[in-house]
Amino acid sequence: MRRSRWTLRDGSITFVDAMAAITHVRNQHAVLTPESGDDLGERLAALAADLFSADAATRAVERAFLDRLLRILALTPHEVHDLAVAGRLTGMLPPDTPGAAEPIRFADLAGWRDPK
Amino acid sequence: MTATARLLRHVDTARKTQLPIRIAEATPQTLALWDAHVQPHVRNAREFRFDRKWQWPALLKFHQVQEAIIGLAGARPAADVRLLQAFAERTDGTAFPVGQVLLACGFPFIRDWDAPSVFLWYLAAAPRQALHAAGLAPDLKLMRPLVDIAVQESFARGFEGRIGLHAARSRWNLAANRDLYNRYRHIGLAPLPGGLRASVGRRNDRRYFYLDAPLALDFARRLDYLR
Repeated sequence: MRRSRWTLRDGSITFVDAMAAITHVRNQHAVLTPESGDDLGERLAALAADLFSADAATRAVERAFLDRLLRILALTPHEVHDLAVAGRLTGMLPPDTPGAAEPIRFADLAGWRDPK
Repeated sequence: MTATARLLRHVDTARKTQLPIRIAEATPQTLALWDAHVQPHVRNAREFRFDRKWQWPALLKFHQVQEAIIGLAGARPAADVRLLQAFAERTDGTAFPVGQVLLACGFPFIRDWDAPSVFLWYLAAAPRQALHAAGLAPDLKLMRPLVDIAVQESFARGFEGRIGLHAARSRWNLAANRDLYNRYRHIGLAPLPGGLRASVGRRNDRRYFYLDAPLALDFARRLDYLR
């Protein structure tokens, strides 16, 4: 069995967990993977590194997030929304690390889709 | 006929005055502004709020990861998840977030799964108490402008204004459910007819709304005086 970097970081987050979650999502949508033999585990590991390493406050937070992520990957985005509205998603997500609420000048805001 | 994206520059107040706004993509710093100055008022609001327990940074990250994994799994192309905020200017020149939306850009259109759209996952306007505390007009009319962000983003990405959203539902506050449903209808969104599935693996609970291309053009035109 191939092992992703997730496996090396934390025993509770394994390639098998990731693949099980992915398979569930894939089956749910009844669509085949685009390329047979594709190393999804490695690509997921790279994805996780891209998404989390830059801004995760600690590796523990990162692991906690990924752990919970795998648990709720089986949900559709609609179900995630329902959980959020019901206030039940909070317990499944790690607490936020508060950012610094430094004032920003209105004139300095980069308007979305404004010409550069 | 296609439309060019033009974001709003003003919003109305209930007193028929206007307030300048600017739409910008959320950053950790601006999300912290919301968490520090708006979310406490949301949590403590006397009135029912669907967003009382939302954690926006976590929701953003979660949906980005989920979409990426859905894309990797080949279920469908991953939607590009963006969190955009509307800011007003306080008297001291600083920016204050008055509303925000979390968008899934490229999500299958709920009336035609083969067509891309912008799905508006989360929408929240700052409560009156937060606006008052910031020295802003507390009676800003924000629902249409916040939905318009999704419409303009849909235009910008070539999706012809197609958007979808689901009116949140509380299990116990039926009055809040009715109120939210009626507000979406009132601003011109079309309810997804019964009998159509809203998405894969998802029952249509008759709380889905959409704008197709003609409806989006009409919706946008009604706000042109604020662009």
